[in-house]
Amino acid sequence: MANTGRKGGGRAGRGTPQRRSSRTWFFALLGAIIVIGIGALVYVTTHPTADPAARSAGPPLPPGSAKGYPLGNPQAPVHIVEFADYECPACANYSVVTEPDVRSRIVDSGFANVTYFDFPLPMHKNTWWASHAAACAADQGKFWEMHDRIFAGQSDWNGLVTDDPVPILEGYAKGLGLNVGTWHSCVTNRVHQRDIEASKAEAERRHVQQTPTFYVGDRVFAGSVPYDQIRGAVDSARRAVPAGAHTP
Amino acid sequence: MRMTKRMIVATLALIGVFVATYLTLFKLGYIGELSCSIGSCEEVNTSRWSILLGQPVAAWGIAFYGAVFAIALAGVQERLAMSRGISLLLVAASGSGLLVSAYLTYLELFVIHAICIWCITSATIVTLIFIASVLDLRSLPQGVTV
Repeated sequence: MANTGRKGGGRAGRGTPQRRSSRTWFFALLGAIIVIGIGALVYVTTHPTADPAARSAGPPLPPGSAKGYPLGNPQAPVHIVEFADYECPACANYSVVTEPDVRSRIVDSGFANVTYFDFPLPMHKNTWWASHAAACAADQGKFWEMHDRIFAGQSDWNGLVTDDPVPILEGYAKGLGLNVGTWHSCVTNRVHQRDIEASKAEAERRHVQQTPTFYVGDRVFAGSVPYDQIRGAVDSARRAVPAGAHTP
Repeated sequence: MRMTKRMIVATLALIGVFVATYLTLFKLGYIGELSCSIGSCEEVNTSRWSILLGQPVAAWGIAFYGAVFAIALAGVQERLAMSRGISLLLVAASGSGLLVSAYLTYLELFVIHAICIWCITSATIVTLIFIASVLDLRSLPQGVTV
């Protein structure tokens, strides 16, 4: 029996069939909320947009001032552009789980090349240091090595665990065999501040709304998309490219 | 089915857990953009007030709703159905939550100048939990102190 609200008698009848029935319905309701809630959370984390593959990149924009970091054959028929934030977990997930396959089976195979652009988000206080760390590693020819190391170690230097990520990033620089003095000076003097700002501006110019975001040919993918989805878009873009040409 | 006040509190708190989890996942970057048909969810959830003591405010919300849910669920058990201590705990917890929620809503309206529909949803849930908790306490027979 449910509570009637009457003082002294409102909770009488404990264990009566009516109360037991009420409790049964109550727990069934909680169960339904849990199932729906978990289902909804799983959906929104695995489907960041309603149908990313169906989103068109829109008309091509004139080239911006940001250079990004290229990987792969410049003459590859398809160009993949990635906008990512070093402190974004979905970006780290892509870097650790999916990107090795993309590199070995798409980039190394010559089907596509990749250009990485920084898109530091305002809620991530250490991401700019990570962008500087990678940019300064690029000066010594080890951008991608540092990029991978930063993402792999995200849980060690992100803004929730430390206010001073530079010593941790410096450890990565040492591990990669960089000239640490040069690297450190480059990072602390923010030598590449304008380059990173240009990358961010490029993301904003393209109205990138989340990280990571990938442009594959004329398609836009948002979130940590699986390998198969990128591969499908690359294959589709390759079919759309006339022989001997390559996408801008 | 007739639900007791504590069942209502537990149900609302469980919904609150999921709302807070959704906002926390966004804050941690697992969700790229909030589904926000009204207001400026991202402006609010990326502001400097979205972090409290090193953790996302929404993560504290998960802890709060989780605690209220656990207390209310315990209070639904037959042996604690008449417990005044449970009722007092619920009123104290939800009252504290209501104050924090009121402060966060003030920040949205008068400092950040942006409204997050999910935050307003959470504030509404806290308010309803507080009302149900007070009604629960008032419905207890006088003199019950367990």
